[in-house]
Amino acid sequence: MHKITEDEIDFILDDIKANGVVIEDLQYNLLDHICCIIENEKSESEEFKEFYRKVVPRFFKKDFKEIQEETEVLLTFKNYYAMRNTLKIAGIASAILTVLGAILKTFHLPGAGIALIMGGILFSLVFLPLVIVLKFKDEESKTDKWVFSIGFLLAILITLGIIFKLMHWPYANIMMFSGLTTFVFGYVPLYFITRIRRPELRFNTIVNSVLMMACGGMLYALQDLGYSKKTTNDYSVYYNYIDESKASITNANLMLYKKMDTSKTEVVLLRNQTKSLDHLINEIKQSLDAKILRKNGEPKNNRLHRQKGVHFTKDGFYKSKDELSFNDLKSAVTDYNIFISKHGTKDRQIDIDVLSENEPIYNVLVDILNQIQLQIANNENALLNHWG
Amino acid sequence: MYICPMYTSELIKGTLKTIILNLLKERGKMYGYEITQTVKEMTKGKIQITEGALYPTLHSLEKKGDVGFEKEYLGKRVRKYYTLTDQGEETAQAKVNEFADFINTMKYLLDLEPKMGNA
Repeated sequence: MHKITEDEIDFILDDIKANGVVIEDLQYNLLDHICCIIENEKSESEEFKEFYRKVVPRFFKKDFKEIQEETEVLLTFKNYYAMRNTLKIAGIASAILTVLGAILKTFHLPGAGIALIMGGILFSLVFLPLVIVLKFKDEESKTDKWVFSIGFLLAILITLGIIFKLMHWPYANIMMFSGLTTFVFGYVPLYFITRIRRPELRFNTIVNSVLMMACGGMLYALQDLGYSKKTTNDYSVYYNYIDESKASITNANLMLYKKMDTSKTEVVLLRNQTKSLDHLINEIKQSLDAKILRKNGEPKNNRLHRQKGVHFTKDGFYKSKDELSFNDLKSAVTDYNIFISKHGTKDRQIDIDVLSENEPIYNVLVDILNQIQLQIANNENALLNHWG
Repeated sequence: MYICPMYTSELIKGTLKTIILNLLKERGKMYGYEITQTVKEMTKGKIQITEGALYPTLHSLEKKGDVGFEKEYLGKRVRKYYTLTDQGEETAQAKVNEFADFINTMKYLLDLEPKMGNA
């Protein structure tokens, strides 16, 4: 009987480890087993390494790793049937919740949001991951395994993107957009190419590819929907109205100044206060315009396009370090309010709390600034009429 | 995964757990090599369990709690003796019963032992 030396044990253990067996228990089990075989079956005349090379192929078809993989599979898929059941229940529940949510939403009934979100989360975080895991076990072809898994991963990404979008959570667009782009331009061609050459799958592949392309493409088209022409027109009518009334009041004020004694201190003060605040707001608007232009590039001929600066006003205005920030406006308005409350009623004061509380997006900010300008002109007009 | 000179692997697939559990029930503690050798001897070489099938199965039985183990240190080697747990005893019995029932059903289904007395 061959007595195994420590060097030989090290050699065997290293070989087992080098061949991809990582579970320690399994390493020692195999080591002991091989040692037993060598001790019991090797004749004195045979050389150790030669005999070892002859023995190990008994353990596998290709290499040691198979045993490791088989062990992993048995350990992981202990819950195989539980997983299948969860998959079925999660699938049915998510389908029911999604349809229910859609119906509730259509009829503006309460609970729509919750049903849709629950359905989406069940679908993307329970159903699809389980499908991937089970597909990996069941699917025979290696290519198909990967192709299907990539598809399901993209589906998870897109569904999460849609949920985020519905909930107005951040990064919704980037998730939906990257998911859909990869799906339509990457995944569908990949699916098509890997399957079209197999005659038995040919028809199915064509139908599925067209379906996926159509659904993905339509969602993709919805992604960056702009505003309808009607909405943009409505907005421009509104902007024009504000611009025109401001212009007409300013004109009327000019006429009033001409008629009255402009050397009076209060009149001079009113004129200066009005002018300086109006001027400051104009400058702020110009600077905002320039900043957003630098950020978003040339606008597509309407103001709504600049709504893309949703998160821009925070750094560009409220926390801006250069001049023409929110604090500059605030101190100018405070000055103006002190002056106006001396001569008029309290409701003529300008309230900019709404600006600091909500930090609105670019369009709304510009809107409010325009309205402040209109109110200044109105105040001026009222005081001039009063004094005249 | 089986090397079985007499039976096809499809035929034996699914019985490995039954074999191991029942062997442990009869012999107390056993280690891997011992199990393969015992099965080989008992069946006169008709069933030979391969290492590639044995160890994954032992590990999964261990995780399920059907078998426990004792370790014996032999220098640098560690020998794992597997033993049946209480739960394993029940599983072994259930598996043996199930298999016996299966054999009877197959006998009847394949008409290997025509029923006596009805002729």
